[in-house]
Parts: sequence; C-alpha cells; structure tokens
Amino acid sequence: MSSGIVSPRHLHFTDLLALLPWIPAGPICDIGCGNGRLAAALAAYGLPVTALDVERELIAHNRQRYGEDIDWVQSDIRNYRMQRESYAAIFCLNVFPFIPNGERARLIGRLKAAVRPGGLMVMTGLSERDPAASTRLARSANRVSILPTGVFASGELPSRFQDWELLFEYEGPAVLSCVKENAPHEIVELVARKPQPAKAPQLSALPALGVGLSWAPGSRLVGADFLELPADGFLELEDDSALARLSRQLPLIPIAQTLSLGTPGLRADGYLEALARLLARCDSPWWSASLAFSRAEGWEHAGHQPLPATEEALETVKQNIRALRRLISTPLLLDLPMLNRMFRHDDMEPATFLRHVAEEADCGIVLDLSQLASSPDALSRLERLPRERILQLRLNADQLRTQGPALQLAQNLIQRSPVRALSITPDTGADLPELLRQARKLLRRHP
Amino acid sequence: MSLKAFEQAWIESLLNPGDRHWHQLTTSERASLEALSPETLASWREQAQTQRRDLLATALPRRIRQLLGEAHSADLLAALQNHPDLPPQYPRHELISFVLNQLLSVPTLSMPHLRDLVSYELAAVRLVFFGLPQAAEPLKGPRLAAWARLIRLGEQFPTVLESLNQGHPVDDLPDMPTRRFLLTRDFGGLRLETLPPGVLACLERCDGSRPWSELSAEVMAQQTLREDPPLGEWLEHFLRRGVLLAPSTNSSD
Repeated sequence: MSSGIVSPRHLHFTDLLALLPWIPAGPICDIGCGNGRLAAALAAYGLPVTALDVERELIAHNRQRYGEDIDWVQSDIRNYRMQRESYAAIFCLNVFPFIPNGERARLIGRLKAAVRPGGLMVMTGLSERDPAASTRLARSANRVSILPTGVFASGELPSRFQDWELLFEYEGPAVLSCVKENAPHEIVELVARKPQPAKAPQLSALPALGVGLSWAPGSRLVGADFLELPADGFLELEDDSALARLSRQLPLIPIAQTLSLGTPGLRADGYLEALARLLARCDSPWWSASLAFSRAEGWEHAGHQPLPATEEALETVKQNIRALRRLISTPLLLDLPMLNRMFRHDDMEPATFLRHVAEEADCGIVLDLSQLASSPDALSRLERLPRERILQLRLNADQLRTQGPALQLAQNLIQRSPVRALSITPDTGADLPELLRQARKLLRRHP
Repeated sequence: MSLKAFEQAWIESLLNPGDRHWHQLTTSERASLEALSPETLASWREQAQTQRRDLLATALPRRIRQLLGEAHSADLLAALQNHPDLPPQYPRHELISFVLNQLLSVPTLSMPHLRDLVSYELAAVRLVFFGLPQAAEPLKGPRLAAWARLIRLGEQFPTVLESLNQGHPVDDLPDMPTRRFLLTRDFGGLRLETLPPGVLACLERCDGSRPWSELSAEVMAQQTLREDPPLGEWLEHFLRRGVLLAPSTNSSD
C-alpha cells in the first residue's frame, strides 16, 4: 500500500471534519466519544453515527445535549460487538492509553475488520516517548510487555496498517485535552483507508431497484424506490453533505453527464476522482454514462453528441472504459443517445455499435425509450442489442400514461430482459403516487 | 470519418454556424463533414446553446444576480454565452471565477457595492474547507488555514451582505471607507468576521515563520490602543477553531 503523509504537525479537530467527504456511505463509529463533539458534528453533516464511551454519565449527558439522532452506547470497546465490515469509518481517538498493551493488537485487529472496504480509520494515542508514559499510567496487565499500559512503540501504528493506504501519520508532541495535564504529550496519529476489492460485481448480481424518478431541483421523492441523479451537479466537496442526507433516504443512481466516453483520453481535471468519491458516498449499485462525446478542444456540452458508429470510436470507448475501471469498480451502464440515428459515415448500425461496446467492455445498458420509440423500426433495432445486458429503462410520464409505442417497447423489454430499474421523468403537476403505481404495475407484469 | 473530424465538425457548428471551411482536416474528412446535413449541425448548435445558457445561469452567484437585477444579469449571461474561453462546469470555482472576472470588465455594470461583492464571491469560491490532510512545511509560528483569508471590503459591506442574503433591497450605503475582514468557509459555511485592527494586523503577519508573541509585540509597538482581550489571548481562540495552524507543541512560542 502507498505510504502516507508523515506530517510535521498533529491533526486539529477541523482536520477531522475536513475528512468527511472521503468517508464512503455507511455508519460511523466514534469510539471513546467523550463530550460528543465529534459525533455531533458527524451527525450534523448527515452521517449515521454510533458513539461509544465507557463513562455512563458522559453518554447520558451527550444524549440529553445532542439528542437521539446519534446512537449513544455506554460500553467498553473491548466488550462491544462489531460486525465485520460494518462501518464506513471508525474514529478511535485517544482510547488506547486506557487499553492494556497486551490487548492492543487484538483490538486493532477487530477494528480493522469492522471497517468496510474503502472505509477510513482514524486512530490516535500516546507514544512510548510520552513523558507521562512510565509514571502516570498503570502497568500493563500483560506481564510480558515492558511498556506501560496503552503506549504505542515508535512506528508501531503505521506498521499495523501497512496493508492499508496510509493517508496521514504523525508522531510527535501535542497538548491533549483528554489527558488532564496541560503539558505537551508525545502522541501518534494515523488516518488510513482500507483497500477496495479490485473485482467489480457481476452485472447479473445487481439488485432489482424497482421504480425511480429522475432528479430535478425541488423534486418530491416520496414513494420512489430510487433516484436517478445528475452527478455533475454534486461533484463539489461542498455538495457532499446534501448528498449524504439524500443517499440515506433512497438509493441513488448517478449519471455522469460530461464524462465524454467518446473523446480520446479521459478527463484529467479531477472529474474522475470526484466521480469515484461521489459513487463511494452514494454506495450506488451502478452508474451510467452516455456513449457520446461532450467535450472537444475545451468546449463542453452536457447534451451528448452521439458518436459516429465507427471502429475507431469503438476502440476509443473501450480504451476509456478500461482506464475508468482502474479508478471506479462500480458497474457501468451505457446509454446511447439517438440509437435510431445513422450517419452515412458509420461503419455499423448504432445498435450494433452499442452491442460491441457493452459486450467487449462488459457493461450494462440503459435505454431511453422516449427517443427510441420515435423510430418506426425500434423493435428491429432492439434485436441487435444484447438483451441480457439491458438493465434499466427510462420513460417519461406522458409515455407511461399513454398506450403508445414507448409503453409497448417497455413491455417488450421488461418481458425479455432482466430489467432491474425503471426510471420515470415526471412532468409538471404529475400525480406522483399514481405515476409510480402505474410504473410498478408495468414492472411487475413481467417480473 | 475520423473521431477528430467529427468533433471538429461539432465545434465548428457551435462557433461558426455559417462557416463550412474546416481547418486542419484531411480532404476526405472535410468531404465527410460537408455531407453532414444542415439539420444535424443546426440541432447540435441549438442543443449546445441551451446547455451553455443553463450552465452560465448556475454560475452567476445569487447575490450578484440580485444586486445586478434580472435585466443586467440576463445581458451579462447572453454576452458570455459564446465566449471561447468559457470553462467547463467542473470544477465549479473556475466557472464562477470566470463569470465574475468577466463581469468586472463590463464598464456599464458599475454600481455601488458590486466590486466588493465580486471580491467577496471570488474569495469565497476559492476557499475550500474540505480536504485530505496535506503535507506542509514545518511551522515556526502560526499560519492561516487554507479555508480562511483576510479580505478588504467597504465598512458597511456586512449590512449589504445581510440584505442580499435575506433577499431584501440593498440600502443606499456608502462603499467607502474600506477595512479588512476575516473571511472563513468552515464546517458551518461562510462567515465574514469583524475583528479588532490589532488582531487583523497579527493575522496578516501569520505566515508560519514567526511565533505569535513576536507578531503581537510588533503590532502592539505600532499602535497606541491596547486590545481587549489582549492580543496574546486571541491565539488560543484561533487555534481552537482551526483558523490558525500552529507547530505541534500547540504553542507558537
């Protein structure tokens, strides 16, 4: 794993808060929560928190002060059961001074196991160079150890996380508020990220999400099974808190609008990293992008210009998807805008082009029926697609209400493809519950 | 037809709708482009214009739009729509900075508080609170965090800002004289703080090279009034908030 930043200064409280956008989706555990300040900040950000402390009075006080949104638990961490890979992040700040040396390795092992792949561990404690180490703290219960209780040997903490990605390490002086004396202590600090499995989930294993809605500012979400979200509107770090709250309400399926899969060479402006962080925040089962180009020579256009269906474009797209996989393991569904158009320069039918990309780059397909349905030979075009890869459909509200070609296409596809999700674009003033009911009926007809 | 030619056609259709002389293309590529129907090119252009208009509309901060008024805002956005240097939507700060800088260069948009508001929005958009821990030079004294900076604005600007934030009309207030403020973007959002002049003078000197005691002594030697609370006590306040970063002993002295 990569080596972290060996910092010349220790972590401030604000440094911990600044980390929050990099915590993936899932619950967080604050071990030794003390006065509850960190747990309260995490909860205010929109993250689900369990806060643990051995002191009964502290827990009661925190519960009264910060409320029941946080799961306050009075327990000794050594007796607290943690499921494997159950937390997106664990903060364990200055707990180890109170843990006998002989129990440290086992506890760290348990904490490491409890973090999800891609999740963060923030751990701090006293180092063996601490002036109070040999006098103030109790001797270890483990008589084999020659060190006082709860003191890390120099270099011990990073070495225990050498199989993780180390983001930050510090070993040096600091004033600790949890230890009453105002004299400087010698401390160790670490921020590390658990490695992600390299292998992406199989398309056939993707969950059935049901009926969702396309996002628009101020959208009502009540009753939807998922939300299709324009990723480009949520990539900034300042948007992460809103996204964290939204993703706790329902599954989110991001659409990367300006990825420009058709442009030779992927974007190198931080967009892909921001997209990877967004997908981790949402824990999305999949995401989608258009087989299109939206950038050329500095011009950007989220309107997705369709690619020419040529061998050159095919190779470009496949190469881009392979490069993407090194950063993003979440399955990708491809959308081909204007599947029914044909340029005279094309080497193949657009549907054939889409089939080649999907099969050779192992991607799913999302079909926008509002465009496809306008083609008189839409059904024959669909025959060229790999049916087993069509996993999501899009319909607008009007098409769902009207017994027309789009609805017939949807019925056909739901019957013959493993469609996992149907997303609806509601129109102004739509009766949302009725719309969702109709869409569910359509999806259930051919489960 | 190569991808390059296809993209070139797209760009040309956006920039020069009437110009069908595509440069830097082979003869066969050019012939291919000539064969694209005018309807296709017109459709690309229309889509692109709509997208750009929507994108620009999101890049003009709400407070600026309010101060300018709808008519001026619309004129500005229309003027920028076909600007060849318009940055992409991501990262957002580049696009907003571009729009704000362009705005300042329009002489007809001169109005009270506009320059201050643009300075404020530009500073705000560049301050980033969130981030993974970064390696930094060892500090010998306190240094302002990346999400805090000093900014010079009209003395009455906080009142103007409050009106804009509340969606109220801006009172007829002078934008002179000016003074410095501390602007922060932290966990709780943006904050513009009025601080005593001596404290601001100390913060201005916080470049990580000298301890606070030295900075505050220098400032006190230059001013006649004593600060209350004393300058020395402000260090702990800023360290606790994280506005100042300090050497690891948690003391700058």
